[in-house]
Amino acid sequence: MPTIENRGIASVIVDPDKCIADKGCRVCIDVCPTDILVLDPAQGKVRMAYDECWYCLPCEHDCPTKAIRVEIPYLLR
Amino acid sequence: MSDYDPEIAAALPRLTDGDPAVRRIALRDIADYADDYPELFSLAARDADAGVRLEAALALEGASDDAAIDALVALLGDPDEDVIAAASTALAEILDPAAAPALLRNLPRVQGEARAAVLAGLRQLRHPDALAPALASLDDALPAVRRAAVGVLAYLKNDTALAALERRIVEDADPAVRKAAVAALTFAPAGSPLPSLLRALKDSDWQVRHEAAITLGRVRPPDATDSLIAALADPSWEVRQKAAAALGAYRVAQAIPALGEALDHPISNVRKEAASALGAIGDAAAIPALERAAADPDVEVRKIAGRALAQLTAKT
Amino acid sequence: MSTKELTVDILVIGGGTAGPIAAIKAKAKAPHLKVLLLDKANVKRAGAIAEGMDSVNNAVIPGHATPEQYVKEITIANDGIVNQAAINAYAVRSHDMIRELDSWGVKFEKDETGDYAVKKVHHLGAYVLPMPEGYNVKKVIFKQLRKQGVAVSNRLTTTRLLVGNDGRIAGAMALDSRSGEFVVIRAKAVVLCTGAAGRLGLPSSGYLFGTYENPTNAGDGYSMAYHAGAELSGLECFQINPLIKDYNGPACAYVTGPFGGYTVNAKGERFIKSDYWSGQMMLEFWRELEGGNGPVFLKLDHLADETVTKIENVLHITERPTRGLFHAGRGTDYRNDLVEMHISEIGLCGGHSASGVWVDEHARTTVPGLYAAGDLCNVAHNYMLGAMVFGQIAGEDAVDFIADKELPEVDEAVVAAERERIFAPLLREEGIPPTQIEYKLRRMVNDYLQPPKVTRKMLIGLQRFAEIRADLEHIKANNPHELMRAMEVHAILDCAELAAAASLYRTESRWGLYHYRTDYPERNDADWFHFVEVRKGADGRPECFKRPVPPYLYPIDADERDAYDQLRVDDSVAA
Repeated sequence: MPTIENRGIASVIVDPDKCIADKGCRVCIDVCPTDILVLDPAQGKVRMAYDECWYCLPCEHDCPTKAIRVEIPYLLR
Repeated sequence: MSDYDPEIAAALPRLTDGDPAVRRIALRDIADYADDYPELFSLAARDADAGVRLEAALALEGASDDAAIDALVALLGDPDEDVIAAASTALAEILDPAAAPALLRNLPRVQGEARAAVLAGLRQLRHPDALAPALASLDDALPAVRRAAVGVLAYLKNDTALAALERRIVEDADPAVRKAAVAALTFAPAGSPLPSLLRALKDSDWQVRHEAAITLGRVRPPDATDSLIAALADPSWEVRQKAAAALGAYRVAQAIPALGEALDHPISNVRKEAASALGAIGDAAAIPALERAAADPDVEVRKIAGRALAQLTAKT
Repeated sequence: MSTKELTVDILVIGGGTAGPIAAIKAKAKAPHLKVLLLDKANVKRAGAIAEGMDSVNNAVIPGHATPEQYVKEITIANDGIVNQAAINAYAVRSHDMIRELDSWGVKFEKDETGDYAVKKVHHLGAYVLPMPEGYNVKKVIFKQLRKQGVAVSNRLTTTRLLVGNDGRIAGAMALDSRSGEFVVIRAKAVVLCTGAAGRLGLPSSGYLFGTYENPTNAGDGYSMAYHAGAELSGLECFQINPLIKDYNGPACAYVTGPFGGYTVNAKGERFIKSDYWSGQMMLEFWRELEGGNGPVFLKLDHLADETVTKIENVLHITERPTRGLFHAGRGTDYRNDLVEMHISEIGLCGGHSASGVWVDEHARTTVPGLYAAGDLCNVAHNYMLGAMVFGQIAGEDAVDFIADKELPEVDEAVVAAERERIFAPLLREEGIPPTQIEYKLRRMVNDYLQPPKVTRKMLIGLQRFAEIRADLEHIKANNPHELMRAMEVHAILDCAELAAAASLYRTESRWGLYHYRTDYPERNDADWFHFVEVRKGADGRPECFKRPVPPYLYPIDADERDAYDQLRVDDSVAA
């Protein structure tokens, strides 16, 4: 059963210059109800890993450095 | 140190880290413990970094500890706007009446927006000693302070403040203060004569007139119905709507012709309220107007008119 | 894939609205007990009110409404099929719950003098208590959880309940969606608070997670209760809500109504006659959309600028705050533009309609020691406050239930089988991604279950569902996160089959659009003035049966019903 990769634009956008995950912050990863934010081990910053966003905003609201911008997922805009 | 919860103990070294981002994260990690260990947060409120001070203010939201209140009041003078906003919110969230003396102690020390924030913190505590400073603050130069003082007095529901509140309605230059004072009069005993409300019904600001119509409907002072009937011709439809509702509460038959005219207003919200008031008045003289409303293009107006007609015809 | 075992006294599953209150109240009543609250997300931001709540729709506050008024209104709005004792159990505790939440710091709208600013939106009683600053609900409740010393465990997706050899509830089994650990929790009582089945229908956008309900609420609780042998009720009474088209979130009429906003058709006229949020209202909405008078809009453009700003400060800050971002993206300004509305995909949700795990007025299910509360249970129109009250009832009753009881014995083979079932998608070499199966399943739900319900379509739907069940043998997960999604697809499929079975069983129409059957367009009280219940039959398949409506505490007399019937659609639904 061969599979293919799907591509899509991210609706949770993290500004790596503001993100302080490399200093131990996990706030957005912890609050996401669908658990779609992960720590990118190479960069030490957070990124969206799954296209499962409810555009609910706790990640953006709770981020201490305002590093996150949530957009409405493209299919809904 | 050994008294601390293990989670706090683990965060302690990071609270004094050289990197402000690390201090900030550590503070957030233990933010849920702010009620148990307010001293850690009061200390962080004096941090050199605005981000750390912000985190401290957020964690201290609603804290009633003396030192925490002093720290929050100090943050009202912070150079960072976000910190000031968080400290104001933190004070406004205090629920414990035991915090009132600390707030009252701080009140004489602060001026301007900070004074408004401390008054806002006192509002829901309803402490009797807040009456005098709130009355004194009604003449403050800053509208935000006068607005917050009205809030304190409204929550205290002390009749001795009624005259001062009425004076705000007549004299205050700021419409937000006038509107708040009008709304505050809701605690006046039913049927109290409140002449300022009739002035407010002619205020230059529609929101003040709107609030006046609402308060008149709730307190129902004597001799207000002529003014309310006149308000059915107010330039703002929102005022007409509330005037109609108030006239329904007064149940005065002399309002029927004017309410009948309101049934032709282009905004259906006004027609709805007029039909409802005609039903509430309960006089058969309203039947022709209500029969007209029963054919209104708006389903809600039809519904209300139909129900009112059913009640009126059942009575006769 | 290690296994972790935990033992507690009371296990509460679901950290959204009902669950935390259940845990707080159980612990407050019996501080010596071990109470564990677990959630598949994070309790701090879990559930339907993760970003707060903008309005209480069912406040029963003395001076504004009475329990009798409220129970009668809910009875009529649900076409009589209610257990009045359960609704009354909420109504008599409503005011105390509001006051307690208030004392904890939850913010309800108050007038300038600090009295509750209850709004009259319905005709018979005044039940709407706005929460313009209701964004802090979760934070306030979390503080109370800490205060009471409730243990919390996050990122655990419960997959099956454990039933003891004596028939009592014995705990639950879960997957840690971060570590991939299998967790077995033994308990003497379990309170299920897993929310609605919000991922049943597919939103018209086609985006799997663009649901009306929090998509974390995939229907796990319905599936778990069913497999544990509990009785489920009213699953044919679907949830369908009015919403902002494409955005798929509440508009929200209860917020804008007191400010003067309302819903209009394409002619700019108000058309909704029904007074209460109900299937009747949704039928009127659907007919307007489909009958040539649509589209339907939320109208706010007649309101003053200052009023619109106030509305924006509620709608764009609380409950679903991205509403403002969505409107901005399309250039919609409430001041000048109407907001296009639509109806939601179907779901199951006791909080908005009347379906779910059967509970009595003590929140007890038909399995001893198993409780249900919130959107998952079938107490009609419970909304947020009812969820909290039923959480309280469940938590306190569970304390009494477990007194002097030992942990039930369980069959270890059941635990081993569940472990194997959970990990199969991970161990498989290759297969179908969970999202692909979920998409197809939910599209079939739209095609075959969405009202108006047609017998032949629902039968075809059941065939498609059976084929998808066979596909589940080939579902492939690459990591614990995908494994959680794979297990959710199993639950969604159970919900789809149960909803179809219950819908086919009730051969009449009832609750407006929620159960509008074209083959049986009339309401038939002679044969169907009953609850339709479904449980797992001896053959392992869904078994439907009737449960009588308990005698009313507050009989509804004829003219009260007539007053309501006058508000119905003029012509028969058959027209």
